[in-house]
Amino acid sequence: MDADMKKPSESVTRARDSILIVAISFLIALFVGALILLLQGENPIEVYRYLLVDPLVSKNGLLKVLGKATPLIFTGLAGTFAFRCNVFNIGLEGQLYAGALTAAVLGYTLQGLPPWLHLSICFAGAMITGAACAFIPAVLKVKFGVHEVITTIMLNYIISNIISMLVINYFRNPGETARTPYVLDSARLTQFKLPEQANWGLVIGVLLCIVAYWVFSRTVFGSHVDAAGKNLLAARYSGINADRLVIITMMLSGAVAALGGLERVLGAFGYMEVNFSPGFGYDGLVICIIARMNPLGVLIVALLMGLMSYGGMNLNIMTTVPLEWVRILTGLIFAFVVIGNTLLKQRGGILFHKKSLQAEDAV
Amino acid sequence: MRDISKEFDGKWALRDIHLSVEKGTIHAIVGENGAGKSTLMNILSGALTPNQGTILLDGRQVAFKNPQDASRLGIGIVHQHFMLIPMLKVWQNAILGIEPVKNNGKIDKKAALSMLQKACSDYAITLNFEQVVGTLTVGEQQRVEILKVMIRQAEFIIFDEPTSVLTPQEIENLLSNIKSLKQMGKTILFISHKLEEVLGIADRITVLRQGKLIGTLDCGEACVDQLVSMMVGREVCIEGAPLQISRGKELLRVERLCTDRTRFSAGLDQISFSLHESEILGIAGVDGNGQSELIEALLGLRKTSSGSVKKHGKELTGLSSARIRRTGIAVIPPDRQTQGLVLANPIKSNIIMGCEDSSLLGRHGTMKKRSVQYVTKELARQYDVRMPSLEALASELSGGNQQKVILAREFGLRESDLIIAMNPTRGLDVGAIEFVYEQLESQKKKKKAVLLISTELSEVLRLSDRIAVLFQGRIMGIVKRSDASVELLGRLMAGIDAEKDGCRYEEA
Repeated sequence: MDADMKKPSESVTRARDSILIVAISFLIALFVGALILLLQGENPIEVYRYLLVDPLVSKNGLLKVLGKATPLIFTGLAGTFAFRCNVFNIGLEGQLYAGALTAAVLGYTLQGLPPWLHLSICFAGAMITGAACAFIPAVLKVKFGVHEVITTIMLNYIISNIISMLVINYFRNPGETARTPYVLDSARLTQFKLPEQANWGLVIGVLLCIVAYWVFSRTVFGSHVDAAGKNLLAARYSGINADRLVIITMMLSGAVAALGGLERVLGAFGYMEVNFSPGFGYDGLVICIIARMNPLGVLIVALLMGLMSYGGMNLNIMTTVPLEWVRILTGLIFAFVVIGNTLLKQRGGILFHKKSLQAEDAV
Repeated sequence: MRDISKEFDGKWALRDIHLSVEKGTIHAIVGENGAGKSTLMNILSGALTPNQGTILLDGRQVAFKNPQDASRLGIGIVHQHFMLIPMLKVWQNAILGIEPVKNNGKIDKKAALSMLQKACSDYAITLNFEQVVGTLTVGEQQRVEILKVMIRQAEFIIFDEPTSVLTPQEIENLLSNIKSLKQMGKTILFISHKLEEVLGIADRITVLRQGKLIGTLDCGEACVDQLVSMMVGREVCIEGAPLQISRGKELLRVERLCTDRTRFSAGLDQISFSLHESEILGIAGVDGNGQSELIEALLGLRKTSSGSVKKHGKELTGLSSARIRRTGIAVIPPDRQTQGLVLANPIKSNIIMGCEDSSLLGRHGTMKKRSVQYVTKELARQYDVRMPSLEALASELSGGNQQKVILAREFGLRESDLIIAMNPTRGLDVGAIEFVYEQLESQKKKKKAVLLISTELSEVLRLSDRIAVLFQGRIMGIVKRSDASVELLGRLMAGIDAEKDGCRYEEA
């Protein structure tokens, strides 16, 4: 037991190694990305400066990076809730649209409310619609054993198209492109500086990640989700109501994804436009897998993705490197992280130290 | 077969198996789950290659690289889980891979049908060739499998647990089919764990246990008791007797509990028993006679079709599993690695799993890090878990220590008055077994009621105050420990009704 004091505990080692894995994968991806650039006759150092360094050195750029990252924080966290419970909620995109429309409609129709009340109503409304969208596949899974991957993918099409239809037919701002009217000022999440830059939604997203981290590490609920996600049968045998957990985590996931839509509408744009999301929901899935379903990891990875996204635009303006290359780089990072995680799993979660511990297990 | 051995991941699944099967006889292989029956069968059929040893067929040494090799040499298998394509018709399934072909490359259906017709009339199998396999009953599907083997000219036929999925009527049909195969001069290897079938049909019986060959008996000389004790392992020698304390009031009453028959389960049939405080009720039986169904039904993990389970007079059936557990039930599940632990989680989380809401750890749905550390450390010490640290993964522990983690959780942390333990010492070494026994008895001293479902007869005899025997989902009888003998229990385990032998039933 004294050994606990002297060497870092295994949980610390494991946390260290999972961060290391992402870092190493990122570096390898950058290296392979550089090779591709060299083949195209570009200068990798210059490209990486535009992509990764320039956005961070100006205050303006930094705020834009944060703005880009905000919806990804929400969708990444949304994915985390479901994936932790081993439920694959691919329906984040649809849930995000549902939340966006609810926020927009509540935002421009309810007049004469103080901002705190108006915002609270918008938040509640968006979360309820998002949760409701996720409830459908959750119940189908628990009651009838329908696999959630199929139902959530299908629901993405159904929901996002219903939303588009609703916007075009009922909530359209006359004379404009297919979008809703501007929401009232009392429902706006204030932007820090200029459009397209970060708004108060970022703060809410960061707080949510911290709360989620606490939930998963310190609460009975989080501990149950963790057990059910890793071994459903053992969770059931230890008296955990796994079916209820599946439904709750799915609904939480849908609610948080909906907040991602709300943030875009009330924070970034001020209105909801048809097909505004370039795939935030799908990016969220990638982010939560890279972050290994750790809410704080989601924060870091989402910021990284925000950087790549804004840096990619920067790159597109400043150089002849095509935007596709940035997608390739993202893909490479993802692939290497997955490979690294698999290797890590095979070694029982510890990369760099020999298993000297097993000797003590004798007798 | 000579000296066949097979190793998986450093563990011997089979060790030096000597087996000789005489032509034209029915040879049965019996043993518990995990005894190595399936491995042996897979080696004979070419699906696995042995690490050591040789196989002789008609005196010639043979080696199979794959199942096709074995098939070519006349070895056929009727698998436990059928290898059929449900969408295709019977005749299409039967000729799959050996289709007679016309000159133009099309399947010669006429030739196929006449081939099948001949095989069917030779072996007295009735089947409608035009029916789609998915619509057949399980028994008919099995006949398709037999037909498949026959038209491939198999001389040596292996039946792998052929009766496990059949109704009694279908079993009768199958056994008569097998007998007619024998009369045609075929050699049959019949793998099963149901003793009474084996005794009815086999000429010779070989018993396997934990990968070793325990013995081969001629059917004439085989008596049930001998077979049972050969099968259930650890020679039935009972050291120590159950702890004598007078039992308290009734705590659990199960009445006429039934579950549905499914393809993989024979179901429970009118299970009734009662259990008192400070009492251990042992449920004996050969593996696969309803033990898993019973524990799952009691815990609400399997739907019951009728009957009742009352704890302190309160009905439990129909409640969710979590609600049932909250009435105070501690469980030692049969498979600690898949049902008892989350192997990928630290020991610490495994000790508190499912009991996180204990007031020792925190309040209002949260847990205090320091309390968790303190409580788990204390429990690990109390239950003597030998581990590198609380943060080490459960997968790093030995089997005995994994079981101790479960004991620490279920006995140390969970509040309970009823304990349901299934095969709590499977695969453990002697020291760990003793530890588990001590813990179960100390729970009994604390006025708890213990339901011990075990396929180890010696374990049941060592611990139980009363013993019930499960056979094909039914309770054959409940006897007091003082009235129980290995012979009596063995006969009940083999499904031989013991009422005539003066076995006393208690209660309804």
